Amino acid sequence: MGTLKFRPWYLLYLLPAVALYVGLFVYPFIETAISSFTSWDGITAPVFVGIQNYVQLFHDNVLMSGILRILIWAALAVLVKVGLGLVFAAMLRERLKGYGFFTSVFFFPVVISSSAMSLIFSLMYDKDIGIINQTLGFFGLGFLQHAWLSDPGTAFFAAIAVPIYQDIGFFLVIFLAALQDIPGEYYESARIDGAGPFKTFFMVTLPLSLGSLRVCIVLAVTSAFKTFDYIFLLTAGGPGNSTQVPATWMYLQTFQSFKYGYGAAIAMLIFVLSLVVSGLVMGSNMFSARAARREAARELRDIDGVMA
Amino acid sequence: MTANGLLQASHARVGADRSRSTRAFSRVLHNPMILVAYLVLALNTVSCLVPILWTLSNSFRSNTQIFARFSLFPEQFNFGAYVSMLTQTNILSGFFNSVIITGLSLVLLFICVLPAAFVLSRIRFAFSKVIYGFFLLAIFVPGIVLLQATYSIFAGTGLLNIPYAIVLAYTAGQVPFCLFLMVAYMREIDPTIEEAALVDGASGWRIFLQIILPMSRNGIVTIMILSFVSIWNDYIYALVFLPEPQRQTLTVALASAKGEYTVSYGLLSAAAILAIVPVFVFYLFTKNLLMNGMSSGAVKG
Repeated sequence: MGTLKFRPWYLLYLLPAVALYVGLFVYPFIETAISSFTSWDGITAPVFVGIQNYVQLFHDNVLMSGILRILIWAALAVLVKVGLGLVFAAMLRERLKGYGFFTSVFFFPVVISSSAMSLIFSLMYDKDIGIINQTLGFFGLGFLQHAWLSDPGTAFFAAIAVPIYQDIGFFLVIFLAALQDIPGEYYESARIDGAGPFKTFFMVTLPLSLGSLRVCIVLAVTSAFKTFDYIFLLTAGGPGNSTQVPATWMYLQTFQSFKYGYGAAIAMLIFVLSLVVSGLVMGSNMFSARAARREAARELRDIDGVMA
Repeated sequence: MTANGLLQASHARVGADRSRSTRAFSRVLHNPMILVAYLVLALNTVSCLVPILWTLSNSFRSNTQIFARFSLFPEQFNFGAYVSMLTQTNILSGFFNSVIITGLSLVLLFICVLPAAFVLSRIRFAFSKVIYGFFLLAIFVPGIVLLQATYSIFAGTGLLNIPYAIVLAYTAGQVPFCLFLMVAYMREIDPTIEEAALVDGASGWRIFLQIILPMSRNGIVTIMILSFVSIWNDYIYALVFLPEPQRQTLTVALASAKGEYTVSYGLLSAAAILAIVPVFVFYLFTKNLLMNGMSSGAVKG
């Protein structure tokens, strides 16, 4: 870097990117922040109302239960998609026969659009023709049959099961890359010490992939916070408002109730929640990769000591 | 290599194969956990394939057959559902709209990202780090946060009525992350080649076009396929920005078909299959690049 001398005309190279970024990323962001302090219907001039929208957020029962829902969603996302991604990666790490086949099959759902996936799953969940109810009937479990997406008791979990299921392959691939960076000696010494697969997983694989785990947790949690498509397409927030999440509620407030100011406040809330989670998880020392590596080295020495 | 050498080499390879397979076999015998691993992996394979096979099968079956029982293999290959899907819905035009919109967005993305990444990665100047950091701030902002303000800007400037103007919003959404990846790629290029070109009197523009761009083609392919997937699959921007049926993209056309033809199960299955087939073909050719790109992108980001 630095071979080429700077000339003023190089600023022209930056112009398209800067113009588009400022015009349609930075400016809308500032605009959202500002209009969250106004009452605005999107047509007439906005009226400044101070923090009224933010106060109202806390009195909005649908939004508050929506926040509870995305927290549950985030927890399940971390447990299931990140957890299974890591477990599958640990299983595939040794390049079992069929490695290429399994990774290709598991990753394919990741590239399918939310819209196509929701269409397939709304058919699968169908009361009459859905494969889930038909399978239950086939095994004589007819009493479990359900209108999965229109029963308030199951609708939310049925809807979030789709993105959780779809993303497992994404986390699998991240962990496969991370596990390849773990020096083989760790596994070698665990093997020599007679550590079984579970012990190897908890003593070597898990502690040494904490760096990637941290990134994956942030991705899983923030995606639960901001996802709109699956809820909107599968249940549209219903029945009642029993599956409404902040993203769908923001859409309805803005584009159907024309409360732009209030919608902007919800948008800012989604942004702040994602930022807080990223900061907490990325900043915590508990997950620091170096500490983890030291820890693993110590554990291995301990195992060695016991064995000797 | 002589014929003899070839023969020996192939013998050696057969030997290695045999010893590897016996080793694998004895590993399974000594370690039942491998069987458990295969069982779990097979189970997940089934869960990945069944939804698609079931939908594919239903796209050839009549409603009566679909109601009677589920089947992963159709009783007959009846393309009636595909014909009515193509003639009665706007899914086909949605498909072409998606092709045009995604294509235009990628072209615009390259125009924005490539020269900017070149300047930010290969030239040292006063505000280089500041500008780069300014772009990186965006990584913390989810796209949905900008939805309504972007919509207001489009409505206010009349962009809403210009066909394909949505590509501006898509490109703006992709610029920060792609710039970040491209700068990382371009920084790794060895400076001696451009020094030589400079001595030969090449201009900055020629160095960019003839040295830096060809040498960062892996990075270019990576940002292209990652952005392709994310723009092609977008739903919410297309839903808000393109309300007219004739301008809808594939994702929105699928969703509106679902609302309109609630009980035409064959038609809906055919629509889902039409959406998946192009992605599947794309996936066959790019899966390794996609996996590498997504994992390195996620970890770096």
